[in-house]
Amino acid sequence: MPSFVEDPAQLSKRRLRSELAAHSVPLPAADSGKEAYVELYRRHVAARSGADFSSDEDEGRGQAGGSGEEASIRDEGQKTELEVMDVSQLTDVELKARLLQYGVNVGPIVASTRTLYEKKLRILLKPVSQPPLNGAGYAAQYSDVEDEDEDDDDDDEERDYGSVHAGGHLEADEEQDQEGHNQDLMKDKNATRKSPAFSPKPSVFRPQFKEPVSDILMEMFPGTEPTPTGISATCRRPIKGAAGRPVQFKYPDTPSSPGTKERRELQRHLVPTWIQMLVFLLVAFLFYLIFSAMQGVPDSPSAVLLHRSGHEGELLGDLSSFATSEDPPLVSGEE
Amino acid sequence: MLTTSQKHRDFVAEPMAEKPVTALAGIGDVLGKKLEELGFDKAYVVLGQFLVLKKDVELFTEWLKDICGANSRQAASCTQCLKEWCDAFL
Repeated sequence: MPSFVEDPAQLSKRRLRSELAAHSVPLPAADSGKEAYVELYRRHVAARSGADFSSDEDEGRGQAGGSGEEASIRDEGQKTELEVMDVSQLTDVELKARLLQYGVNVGPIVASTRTLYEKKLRILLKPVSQPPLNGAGYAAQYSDVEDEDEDDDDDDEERDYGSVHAGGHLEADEEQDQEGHNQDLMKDKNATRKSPAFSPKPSVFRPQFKEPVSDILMEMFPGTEPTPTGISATCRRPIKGAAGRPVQFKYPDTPSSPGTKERRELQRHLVPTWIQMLVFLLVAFLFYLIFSAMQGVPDSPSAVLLHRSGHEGELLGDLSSFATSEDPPLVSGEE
Repeated sequence: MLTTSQKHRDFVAEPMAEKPVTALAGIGDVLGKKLEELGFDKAYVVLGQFLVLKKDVELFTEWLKDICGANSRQAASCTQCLKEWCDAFL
C-alpha cells in the first residue's frame, strides 16, 4: 500500500509553511511545533482539496483497508493536484527557469504576466502524459482483452507507485514517463470498470483526467470533434517550443505576417474593377475608330446608316443617275 | 486576418498618443469598458502589457481572452494591430 503523497505529517515544516501560505491560511506563531502546522494544514488545505476533488480525502480515511487500486487512483488524483499546485507555488525565478527549459522566450514575470506563464507551463507539462491518454487509452476502452489481464496491471501499478513515491514526488520531470504510463492504465480502469462497487469512483475522477485533455485539444483544434481513436490529437504542431524544439515565432502558414498582407493589399488596390472596365471600353472605342477610318468616309457604317434611314430613295436615285451618266464615256473609251 | 479594418489602419497610421483603449482594432465598447474597469484605460497601457510579454502574439492573445473575455477574432485583430504599430513606431 503506497503512502499518501500529501500526508501532512510526512511533509517538512518548511513545506507545510509554504503550503499554508499558498492557501492564504494565517501561519501560527513562529515557535509553535510542527503539530500546529499539521493541524492547520489538515483543517484548511486538506479540507479544501477534498472539496475540490469530491472529498476523496475523507473516503480515503474511511476505507483505509480498501483495495490497492483504489489507493492508487486516489494517489494519482493527488499527484495531479500536486503538480498543478507546484506550478503556482514556484517562485518567479523558478517558473522562468522551467519555461526556459521548454524553450519558451520568457519575459519578465510580474503580477500581470505570471498567471499566463503558469498556464503556459501547465500546458507544456501536460503533453508529456497526453499521448497515451489519447491513443492507447481510448483504444483500450473498446478492446475486450482488457478484462483478462487487469489484475496483473494492478499489481504492476502498485509496484510502480511504491517506487515513484520512494523516489520523491517533487522530481516531476523524471517521473513524467512513468506517470504517463500509469495514467494510461488508470484511465483504462476508470473507463472499463463499471461494477457497482466502483461506480462512484469514475464519476469522481473522470473529470479530473478528461478535462485537461479535452481542454487543450479543444483549444488547439477548435473545429475538430474528439475522435475515439485520437488520430486528430496526434498532431502536435501548435505546441510551439515544446519538448526542446526551437520556438518558431513566424509560421509559414500564418496569414498575418506583414509581408503577405502588404502584398495582398497591393493586389487589391493595384487595378480596381472600374478602371479595368474603363480601359476595356477605351480600347474597344479605339479599335472602332481605327476600323472606321480604314473604311473611308462614304463607306463608314455610320454614313451608310444615316443615308439608309433618311434619304434612301434619294441616294438610290443619285446612284442610278451617276451610273447612267458615267456609263457612256466608259463604253466609248473601250471602243 | 486576411483584411484589415478601417480602425486597424487608422490606429497603425500614427503614434497612439493618448488614444483610448477603444481605438484599438477588435476592442469595441463592451471590451473597452471591461478593460477600463481593469485599469487599462489607454491604448498605451495595453501596449505595455504587449511589450512586457515580449510581443509574443500567442501569449498576448491568450491574455486578452482571459482578461476581458475577447473572442479569438477580436483578440487576434487587437494583437495584430499592436504588432504592426510596434513595427512602425517602436
